[in-house]
Amino acid sequence: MKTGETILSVKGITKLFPGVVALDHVDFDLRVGEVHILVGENGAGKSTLSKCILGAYVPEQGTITLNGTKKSFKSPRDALKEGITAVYQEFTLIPYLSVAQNIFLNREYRKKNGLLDINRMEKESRELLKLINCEHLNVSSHAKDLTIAEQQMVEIAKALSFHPQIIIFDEPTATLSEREVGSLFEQIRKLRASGIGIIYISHKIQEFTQIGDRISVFRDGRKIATFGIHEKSTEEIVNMMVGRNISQVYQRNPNLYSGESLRVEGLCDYKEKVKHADLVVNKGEIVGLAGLVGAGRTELANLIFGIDRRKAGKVYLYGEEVLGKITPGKMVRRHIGFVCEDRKSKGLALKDSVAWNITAVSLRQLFPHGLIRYKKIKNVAESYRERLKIAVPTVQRPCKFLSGGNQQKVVLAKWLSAHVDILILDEPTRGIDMGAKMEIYELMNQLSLEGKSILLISSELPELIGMSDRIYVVHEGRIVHECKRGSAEFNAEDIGAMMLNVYQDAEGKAEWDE
Amino acid sequence: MSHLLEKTKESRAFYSFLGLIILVIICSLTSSDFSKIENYITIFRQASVLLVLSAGLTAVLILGGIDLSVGATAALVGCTCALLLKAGVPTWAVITIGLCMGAVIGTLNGFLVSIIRLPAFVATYATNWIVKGLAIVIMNGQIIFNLPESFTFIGTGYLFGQMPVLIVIALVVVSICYVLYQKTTIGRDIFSCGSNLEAARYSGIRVKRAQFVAFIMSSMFAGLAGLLMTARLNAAEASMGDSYGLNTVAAVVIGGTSMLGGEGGIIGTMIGSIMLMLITNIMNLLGISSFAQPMIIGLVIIVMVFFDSISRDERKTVRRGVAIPMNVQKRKDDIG
Amino acid sequence: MNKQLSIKKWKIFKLPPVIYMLLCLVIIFSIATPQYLSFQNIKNILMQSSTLMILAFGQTLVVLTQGTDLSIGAQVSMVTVAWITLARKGVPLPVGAIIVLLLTSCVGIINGLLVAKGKMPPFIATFGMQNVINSFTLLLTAGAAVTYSSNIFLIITESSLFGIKAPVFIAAGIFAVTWVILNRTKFGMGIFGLGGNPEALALAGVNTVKVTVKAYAYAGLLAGVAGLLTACRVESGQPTAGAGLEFESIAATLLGGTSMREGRGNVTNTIFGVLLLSVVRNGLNVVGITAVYQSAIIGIIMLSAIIIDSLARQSQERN
Repeated sequence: MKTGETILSVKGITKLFPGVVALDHVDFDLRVGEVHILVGENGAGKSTLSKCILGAYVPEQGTITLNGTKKSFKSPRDALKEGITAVYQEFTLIPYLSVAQNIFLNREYRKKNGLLDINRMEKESRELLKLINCEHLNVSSHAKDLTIAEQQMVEIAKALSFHPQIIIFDEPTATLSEREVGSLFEQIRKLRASGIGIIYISHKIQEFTQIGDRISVFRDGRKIATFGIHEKSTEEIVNMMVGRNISQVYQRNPNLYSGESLRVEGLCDYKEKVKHADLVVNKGEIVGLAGLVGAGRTELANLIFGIDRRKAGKVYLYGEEVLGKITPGKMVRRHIGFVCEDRKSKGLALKDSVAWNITAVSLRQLFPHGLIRYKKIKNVAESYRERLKIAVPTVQRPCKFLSGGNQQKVVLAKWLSAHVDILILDEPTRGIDMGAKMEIYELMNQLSLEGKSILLISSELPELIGMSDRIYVVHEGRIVHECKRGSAEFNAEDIGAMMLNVYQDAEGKAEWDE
Repeated sequence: MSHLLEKTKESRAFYSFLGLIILVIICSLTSSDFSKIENYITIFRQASVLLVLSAGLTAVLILGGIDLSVGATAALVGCTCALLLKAGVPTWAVITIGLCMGAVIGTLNGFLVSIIRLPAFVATYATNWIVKGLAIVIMNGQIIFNLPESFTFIGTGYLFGQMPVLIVIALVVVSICYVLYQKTTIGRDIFSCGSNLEAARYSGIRVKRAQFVAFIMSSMFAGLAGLLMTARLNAAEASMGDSYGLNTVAAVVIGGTSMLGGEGGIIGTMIGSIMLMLITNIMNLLGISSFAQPMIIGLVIIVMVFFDSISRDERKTVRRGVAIPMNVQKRKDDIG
Repeated sequence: MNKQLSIKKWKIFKLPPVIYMLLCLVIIFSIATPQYLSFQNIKNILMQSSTLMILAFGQTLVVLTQGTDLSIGAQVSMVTVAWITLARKGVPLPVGAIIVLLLTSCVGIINGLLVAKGKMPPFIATFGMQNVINSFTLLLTAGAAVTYSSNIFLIITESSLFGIKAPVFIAAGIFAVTWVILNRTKFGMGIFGLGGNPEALALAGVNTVKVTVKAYAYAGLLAGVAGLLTACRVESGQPTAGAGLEFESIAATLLGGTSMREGRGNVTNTIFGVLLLSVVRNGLNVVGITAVYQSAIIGIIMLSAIIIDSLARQSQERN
């Protein structure tokens, strides 16, 4: 096949998940020897599309045509047979197997006596790695001894061992340093030159011009546009990604409180995900933390709340330093709440009832003498069920039967019933419907009117901009910008650029962190 | 209202109760000796010791752990106390010392599980070994008989004319545990840790304290059970706890407490203990070899846990049985 | 980059803590009793550890899959009793040996199915199984020990080469087989995969249930071999011959650095774990501590070793 010919074309693909249209009649095509970038916010549909192409999901409607023939993939193995493979953002390597064994996992070469032909696997692995200029890697060392970038190269070698026509890269640079990204791109260009079609999913806009040929922008399960890489400016792309009518959804009323509630100084962790973070949250204020996935926002919240151990730095509450080891228990007693990102595995005890979950934190406040009265628990739970409009027939129902939005309300009720003064919200509206979202925004406004402080972490820029009074931008573990509501740069384009660290201010001067 | 809330917690105990009634009917039909009053009293007295032994273990299982050291702890406490009584130490002091020994062993278990972070079964298997070894050391192969009457009274005496002291003590233990597990904040913390340890941590619950409390309770009640055993038999020997290791786990599991944590209660354990003793009793009456009994009880445990496990939420099982793979967290987010 | 590699070559820093503990104990015992380091005593230690060694190799495989097998001690007892009983009933010893090996392999398969298909916590499934097997063993002979005499026993336990007796060679042979299984077969790759990244393993299309079942079956098979050797040594079937061996094998495996969670470990280091336990036991004998005290002392040393090991690893991970 010649460069420029269409190798894959997808028509009218629709994929439904309970309560969500993940893909809505999406058309898409990929040419031989091009890097096609998919871009959009979380949940926009780009990953779902790639999984449909890979056979991991079976779409409800639409067709996938490969080299002119229609295909329907029932499993990733079907797609693999046709030469479609992927390099995931999360690695599929087995830590205590050698590089060669990982590359040939479940396709091992064996000698006549049935034992593994280690020499042959290592020889072929070396050849594969040589293709991507990684002959320095020791094919007999354990996968866990490699750096992340090296693991990624092994993943690429593994993908190449299938002799692919199409490789999908799912945010491959999320965890790489700048230099490592450079060599990754070099390999991708080589792959492209060898006639492989490449689908590249990314959040990082500065990468697009370096690596891409065409871009497709996704939003809310639909493809907004496809165009050549140089046809549109970065600003226009960001606009397309986030563009929606913001003013109706987000209504933020400023209020009159003053005085700081939470102050963090020079906070660092052991994993080097957070580097010297300084931030201040005032009473009655909603402060946003913007940043890409993996920028260190959740890690920062975990440090403040005492889930992870801090390496250095101080946390002040109402001007008073929190001394000693920070533990969640200590923070709860000082009226700090944390609605964490992973609701199901860390936020709720799913098989316990709504009532137990709502009172999980406030139990000791409700019953300081240690004896529980069920009636009081029920009353408290009922009052929060009404206040937050949690749709559940009885508070004795286990949480696993609730929808995502109602589960999130139970988590919020858990912290409200403990009368927290400072609330950290990590992706509070992820995976919930619009109605529940707006109720949560309303609640945030109410809380701030009562003088309570909120630290909001979100990947949805419109939400951050709509709800925050102030936004800190986090990039690679550092807080690189701070902007106030009402200032010139308090808009999606500029903050989006700051998240990617490509922001240029009014004088046109690039601000580089390092 | 409060009824309903408890019911969701104890609903498994309700099924156990149904099982108990069916078992009683079957037993009465199979053996004419079964329905005699004396036989019932024997069963209840045996069940009392088992119940006290499993009372604290229930808390450990609710927490999502396991304590394999209760039998050995009972033996060590029983033996030590018998020796002390022979040496002339007053009964009240001996009982206090026995309970304190239990607490010390429980603290060791709690330390190993929550601070050193050993898997509960490894930690308690090790303590089981050591405690049993200590019992052998202090007894040096002998058996102690003829303990003072003030002590054997708790095992063989009667209160209010007809009521065996043993059963009264068991009922008191049940009441204490019921209040502790179902009606106090610390009991609730234990449930929360068993339901979802991570969520408990993220809710600011002091997880380590809950773990210590559960293991200490387990060993303290085991110590008490050791005293009761010694008093009932009016004798002590190093191996007297051996046969209980399996039975305690079985009693708790039959009573509806989940091996996987977060569900269960003392009422269930009470029913479970009685059921187990009924089974043992009827096997004895029918002349089934006592060697066969561990097999039946072992099978009962396997079957109960098997159904508990497959009825569980898939996710939960995966998380407990198999580690969370590297970086899979992010995969879930893509769907949103 | 290069510097990192050169540091990695200094494998001495990555030696499991058990080796240092082993060295310390050997030094202590050899100071306490001069004849400790004699050739005769070293031979004794190797001989005494051969049974546990074999068990621990099987346990290592199971632990690598994030499991545990608490039933292998009971299986050893069962094998001694069943084999001897069969022999007394007139079944030739080699035929009986094959029958009992098949029996323990089946027990292993059931264990594996309970864990992989039934999704039961491994320790409770195998704990239940332990009691079922013990019960079966007691039923076979009504709780009594059974004896049988044959030259075969002596040939197996006493024949020696260069002064080293056959069980040691058998253990060495099983070590070689286990090493090959772990490092040179597809099954071995599956075991490391189950421990390290089971999702990736399933994604690659490997049947994880099959791998788990095979691991438990292998542990059962080796328990059978260990049981046969034990029966040869004591020339009888003892219903309690294997009591506690399951825990010693787990302790040895953990001390050898095999992890219960992340698919890390190898069968070579398990040898050191077993040697540590054997050295302790042997040392107590040589120093002259009576049997009454041994169980408690061994337990305490084993637990301390596990604690030291766990703490050492935690601090290694932090750096």
